Amino acid sequence: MTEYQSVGKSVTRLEALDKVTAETKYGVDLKFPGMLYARILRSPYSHARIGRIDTSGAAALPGVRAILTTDDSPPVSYNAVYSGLSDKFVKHLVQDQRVFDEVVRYVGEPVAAVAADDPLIAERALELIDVDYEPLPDVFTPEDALAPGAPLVHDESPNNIVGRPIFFQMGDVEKGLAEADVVLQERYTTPRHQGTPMEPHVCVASWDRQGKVTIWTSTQIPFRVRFVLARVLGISEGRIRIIMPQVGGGFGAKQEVSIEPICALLAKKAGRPVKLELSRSEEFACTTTRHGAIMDLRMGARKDGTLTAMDGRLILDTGAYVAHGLGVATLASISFTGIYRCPNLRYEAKVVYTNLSTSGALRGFGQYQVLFPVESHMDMLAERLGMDPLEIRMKNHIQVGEPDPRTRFILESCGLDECIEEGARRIGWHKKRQQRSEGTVRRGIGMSCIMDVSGAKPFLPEQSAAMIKCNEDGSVTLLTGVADTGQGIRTALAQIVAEELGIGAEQVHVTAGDTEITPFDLGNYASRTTYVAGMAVRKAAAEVKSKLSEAASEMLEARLEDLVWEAGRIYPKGAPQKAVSVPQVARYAQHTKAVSIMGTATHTPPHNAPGFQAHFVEVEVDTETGRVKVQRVVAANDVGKAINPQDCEGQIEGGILQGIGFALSEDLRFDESGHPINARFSEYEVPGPDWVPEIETILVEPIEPTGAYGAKGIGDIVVTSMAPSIANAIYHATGARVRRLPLSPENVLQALDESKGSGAAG
Amino acid sequence: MNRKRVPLTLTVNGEEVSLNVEPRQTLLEVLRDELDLTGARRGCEENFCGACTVLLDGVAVHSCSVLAVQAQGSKVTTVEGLAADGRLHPLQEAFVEYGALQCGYCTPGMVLSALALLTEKPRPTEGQIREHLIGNLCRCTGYVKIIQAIQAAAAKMEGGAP
Repeated sequence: MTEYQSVGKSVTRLEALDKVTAETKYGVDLKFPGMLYARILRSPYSHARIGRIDTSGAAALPGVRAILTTDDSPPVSYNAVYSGLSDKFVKHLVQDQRVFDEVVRYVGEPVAAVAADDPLIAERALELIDVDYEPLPDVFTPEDALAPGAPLVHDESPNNIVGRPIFFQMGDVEKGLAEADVVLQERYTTPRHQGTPMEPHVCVASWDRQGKVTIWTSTQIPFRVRFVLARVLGISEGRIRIIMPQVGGGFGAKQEVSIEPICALLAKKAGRPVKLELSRSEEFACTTTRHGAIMDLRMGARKDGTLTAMDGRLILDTGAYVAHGLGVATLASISFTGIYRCPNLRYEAKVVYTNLSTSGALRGFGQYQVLFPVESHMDMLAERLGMDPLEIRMKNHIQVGEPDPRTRFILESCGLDECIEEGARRIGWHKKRQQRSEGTVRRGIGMSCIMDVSGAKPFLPEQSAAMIKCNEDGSVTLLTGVADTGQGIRTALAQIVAEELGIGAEQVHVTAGDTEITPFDLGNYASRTTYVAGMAVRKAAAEVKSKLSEAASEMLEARLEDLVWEAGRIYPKGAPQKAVSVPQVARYAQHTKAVSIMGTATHTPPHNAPGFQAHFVEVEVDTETGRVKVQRVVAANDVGKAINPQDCEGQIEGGILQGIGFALSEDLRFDESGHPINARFSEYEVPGPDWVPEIETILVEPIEPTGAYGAKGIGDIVVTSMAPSIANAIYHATGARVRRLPLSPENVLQALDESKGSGAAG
Repeated sequence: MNRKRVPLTLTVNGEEVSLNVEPRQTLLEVLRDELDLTGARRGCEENFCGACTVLLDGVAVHSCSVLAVQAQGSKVTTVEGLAADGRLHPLQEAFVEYGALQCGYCTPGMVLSALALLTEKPRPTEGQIREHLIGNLCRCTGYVKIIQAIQAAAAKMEGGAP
């Protein structure tokens, strides 16, 4: 393993000092002269036609400066995620949203908006807006939405199915199942999760007199927001500037155009800057959640453990608008078909409308909904075959050199075997699997393997660009379009540049996420930034290095090909005493040679370099209350190469806790009129510090040849393992198989009852 | 709407401040909107998440649930008051060193909550740290490095909180 001077070191976050002293400003901290405050009036009905809207009372309130209703909505239908992408990538673009529609389709959908001198006046103004609603029949579950005669959420979508089902097939599953010695069929359900970043959505918009709008927004995707907004607002991308302030967490909740159109339109109408912040209840009830899912899974295996068939039928609840829906359905197929070698595959996903809030991106995007079923199934198949759960996975998982069935990309790095073996060793797998506990509180151990992509190639125009310029002091300024929502990408990119140039990471000044200044990047999602932007940045740094070499060769009066670079010093081969430092060369170039040294690069990755992980858990199950406690986790992750090990650990630890929340308790529920029941922290339980198990992390580094210094992504994969690992551990502890998430006391007790009824071993 | 203001005097980060506030304004709103102290943040509306945590007469409170007028005559400490003479408080140093922050939104609240704990219990057990931090949510870190940082700061501060 190569030892580097910056890459591979747990370099302190560049922005840590600012964050720990609150120097860092978030969107909500922005203040501009004349700035107004906005609030949104939201539909109390799950499905209704909007009639008359009387805003006269609100308009008369002193301090109200602008009001928007359906009349102000641009007459454009869009998709908050995909509008503007070329048809090479989005073959079936469904554009079903408007800024203010004449029909509202979920409780909480915006109906009107107000900008006023302060928030209190804006809130009071909302109360004075009078709206006539004509309620329409509604539908709240995918099963109900698919039933014949169900009310239509969108008239254009018969049966409430969005577009066409996503379908993939290879070989012949019926034949494969017939050849199997063991066939297992089950149904699994996963709920709606809310990412709950600690910072709610916030946006500030301001127009200049040339018709250009600047929008500071808490987003993961500045450039994608720009091109979707171009369509929504009817102005071209160059007239829209999106600036990311520091963002307080995303996780997918900030991965589409959301409050930006309303904010921009209010600012235009008022002729003043407008700030729009969401409350936490709006976050829960009116921003995107994970797609609730039902998966019917059939898998077949031979006696020796080889898989012969996988048939997955997925139904995704996309809520009132499709937005990310078809993307989730498509990307889910990658891990489903890609993780295990299987000659006969069938995958079908239906994306279904309901009159609930729009579903969207959330960490684990699609992989979450399919790998909980697959990893539960693998354990059950192993049991039927008398195999250890590790053995069946090691036998079947994809290996380096093999093609992904869906994308045909050849796998170039895979550390999964090492993850499994090392993880098993550290947790004491084999010994603990033999142990059976008695009594009302049972202990169990379980694991799961997860595969997740680094970037969304081939489904999106994956790319990142970088620009670097040298300063006279030998520091450099890196301009990158990436979105740092807290995961630490700016520091990782600085380390890559630092490594390339032999300077310290603190010598790399990073500006990120401003569509006017920084070059294009698709954003923070699909665990893509280290893998894609990392390479763009490395290439740009390499160009800077070669130009510094040219200047050095002039300074040293040596031939370019004779120069040696060593720890930030450059000298002619054989004459280290003549060495000059990067700062000296930079100053010489700028002030003596009179050239500016800059490097630029645009990078398209060759594929999507999947990351892998094996996460092991020990749990305690109280069979009287159904309460599950995770005692210990050993988490082994193949990250290709850890650019910053401390930040990788932070991602794993954070992902495990969020994953435990998703697995054990998180479930956004709605009542019979489509109102969210538990849209608050006190009732939608997210993990607190008392939930933290003992966590041991293992970083496995097989070195991905197409990633900068071998790096792959890590952000999404880390949340997906807890649900199947815990469910597998619950089974080991009690013999009860829970197939409905969350693994709440209620669902665990039900599974325990069912297992007693069926006479399964307890 | 009655927007009449009433006088309020309190000490914020060691400095006496006199201003006029609306009786309905929370301490959080006054700190942020009137005094430009942005470290305390809003993360929920139900006195739950702790992003708004400040010290009120040394006690960690959710400033979203304290009316500003209730702080009349009191001493308020926000994260901006911690770095004395430009040097970080040992807790802040430990958070940085241990990677105990990612997006940073919850960090001021966490640091102040930890400070209140260490003032009362200079060498808390890990269990005591976890229990004390209930009331400060973090969605990024999984709390692991936060707990480690607090333990490290406690060890460094041994001999009394500065």
